[in-house]
Amino acid sequence: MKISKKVLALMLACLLVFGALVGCADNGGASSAAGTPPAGSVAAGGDVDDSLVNTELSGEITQWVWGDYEIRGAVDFNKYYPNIKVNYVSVPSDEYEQKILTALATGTDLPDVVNIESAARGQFNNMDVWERLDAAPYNLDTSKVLPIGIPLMSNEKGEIVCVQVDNCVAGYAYDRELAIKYFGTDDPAEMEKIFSDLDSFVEKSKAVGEAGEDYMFASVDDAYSAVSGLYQKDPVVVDGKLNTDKSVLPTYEFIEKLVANKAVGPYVEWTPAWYTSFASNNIIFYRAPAWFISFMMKPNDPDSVGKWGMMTPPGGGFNAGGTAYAIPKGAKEENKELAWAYIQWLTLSQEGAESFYNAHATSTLYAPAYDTDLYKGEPDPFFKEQNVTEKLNEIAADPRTTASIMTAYDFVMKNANAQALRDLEAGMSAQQAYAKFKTEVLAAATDLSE
Amino acid sequence: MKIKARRKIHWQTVVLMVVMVVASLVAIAPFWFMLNMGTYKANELYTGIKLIPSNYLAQNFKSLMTINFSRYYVNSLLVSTLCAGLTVLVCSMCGYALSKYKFKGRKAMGNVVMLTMMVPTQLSLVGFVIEMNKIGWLNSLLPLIIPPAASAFGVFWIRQYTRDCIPDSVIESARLDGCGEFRIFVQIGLPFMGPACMTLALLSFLWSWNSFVTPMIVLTNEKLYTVPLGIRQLATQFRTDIGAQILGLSLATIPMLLLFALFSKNLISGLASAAVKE
Repeated sequence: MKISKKVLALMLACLLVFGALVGCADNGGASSAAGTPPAGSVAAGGDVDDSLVNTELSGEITQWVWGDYEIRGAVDFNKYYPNIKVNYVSVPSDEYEQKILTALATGTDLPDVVNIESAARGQFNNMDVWERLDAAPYNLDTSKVLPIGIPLMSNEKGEIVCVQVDNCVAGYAYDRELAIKYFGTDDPAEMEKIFSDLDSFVEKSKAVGEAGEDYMFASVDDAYSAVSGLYQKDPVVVDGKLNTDKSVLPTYEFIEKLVANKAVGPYVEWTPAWYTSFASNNIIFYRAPAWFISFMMKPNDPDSVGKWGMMTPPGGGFNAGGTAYAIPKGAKEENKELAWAYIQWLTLSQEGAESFYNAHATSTLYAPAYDTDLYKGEPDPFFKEQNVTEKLNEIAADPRTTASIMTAYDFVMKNANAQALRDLEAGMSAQQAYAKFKTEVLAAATDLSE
Repeated sequence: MKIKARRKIHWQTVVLMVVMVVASLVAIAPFWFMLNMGTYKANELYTGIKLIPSNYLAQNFKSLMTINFSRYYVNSLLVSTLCAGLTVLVCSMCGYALSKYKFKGRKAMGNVVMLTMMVPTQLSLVGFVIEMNKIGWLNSLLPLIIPPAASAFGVFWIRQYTRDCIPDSVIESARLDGCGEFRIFVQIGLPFMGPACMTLALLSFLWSWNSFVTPMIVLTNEKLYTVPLGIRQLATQFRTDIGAQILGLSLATIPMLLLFALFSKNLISGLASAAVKE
């Protein structure tokens, strides 16, 4: 009897493993996507201007990526550089920075192209490990980059050390049905008049909270994401002193009022429950750059038609998220030229802008593309036929719109802020949460003072 | 009297059974929900508690296979199996030597082994990566198989077990009969160490299977990724596809569940016999 149980269990194990292996055999083709762009996609697309094709540069470069942002976004690259092969190695996004830092610390091989996510940008840009791209031999032409992108690519000395690929200026996406229910209109222009400042959000949140059915924002994290960029006008560190009284504190005060009005939902950002909030029909606002619409809203609310609207945040837009590419000084010398050709094509060319926009409905920061018809956009049924591309570009062009200010202390502040938001959610006052935030930042960044 | 006694026993049994059933349900429920959720479409997962499987398993499986999950599975099986086997071989020899041979520095060596157990893996990670780089093993599966085989815990474990469970008189008798040291180890030592070796193999397999930080740092070729890396990749690639993620987690737990179902008695007996000194 004992033997038969063991045999049964072994058979079951073999069956399960065999099942997995059979699955492998069936999908072998798909799994090669990490190494090379999907063959079908490369072949797809229009004709290529032969004068733009470069066959002289040849070789193989490696880029560590998370997800398929580049694999799909740069799908046309090999039409223009047929002899450069880009090996995409997928690295879990949460551990990406640790992997890079370990490679830097141990002197082991780095990829030829490193992705620097916005949360890590402040720290990474200020490490003296990246090639300076606005100097020889790269000579990045800053006039080809939207002005809002320059601070996102620079270190504290003003040197450009990476190139952000995506235009991440955010607007406010809102649920039209709920907007009519609580504010009497779903027209973007009318909404912008009603919500001309953040006080109006607090005022209107009272009715939402009293109804007890819906929320202004899905969570305190979302409320923070929606307004922190609006307050961040000054550097967070000035002469070695923490300078957040005019940015973090008012953000916390805004959240405190919303929490008191019971207008903030329970969906903690980036959790599975939060993903469901898009289709839950009880959240009015999300801050929404283009990537957020493609990767968050549409996949998590696939059945909605005409549900959403897009408006300019009070006081203009702000940068939210984004991925930039850098070339490590420690990368193989022979690959640096190839890596720059790749980065330049994707981020600073009309062809790259088209390829990226076609894949992700997201604009790059390549300025001349905005003078073409590429980003004229089209009515989007998801947004009740509103032209969202046009709207986001209108926000990007708004002179009040600002880029995030990135510092070497971003990680420290991010951790302290995460705890403060949970405290605010639990009912702590803004003053108390802010005091706690400052204490934690100063404890972790010992070279800063109050 | 008899009837009363019966009733009393019956009542106790019922209570005990109810408690046991509830405890079992509490323990099993998360596994059941995990297996179950892997059969649902992501959007359906949060519309209520799902007690019965749905019909979306094939689609979730298809999504899962787009990230080469089966290759990661094979890599993990290879690494964990080899690591477990090598760990038993190396640690049994080392533990046996430290336990049964008297030589100068034996105590100091034992203490060094103990000391290395106190250092968290993360602290020695940079040094480990530099070492692997110098040897030329980076970006291969070797750093996941060879270095963990010299497990400080394994050596300590076998040393403790061997010291108490293999009588010195048996080894002396073998020597008197002309048996060589290696043969004594293989034919006398190892059979005595069986339960401890089995326990060590299981623990080693488990640690290797679940290892995340080391593979994440030393591997830069996706074809070599192991299951924990693959699962984290799922969270990146399919952050909206919770169903596929949960199916991946379910598949990842299968080897461990099977191993413990098959060898739980050996594990418990190994742990118990090493814990009791007679």
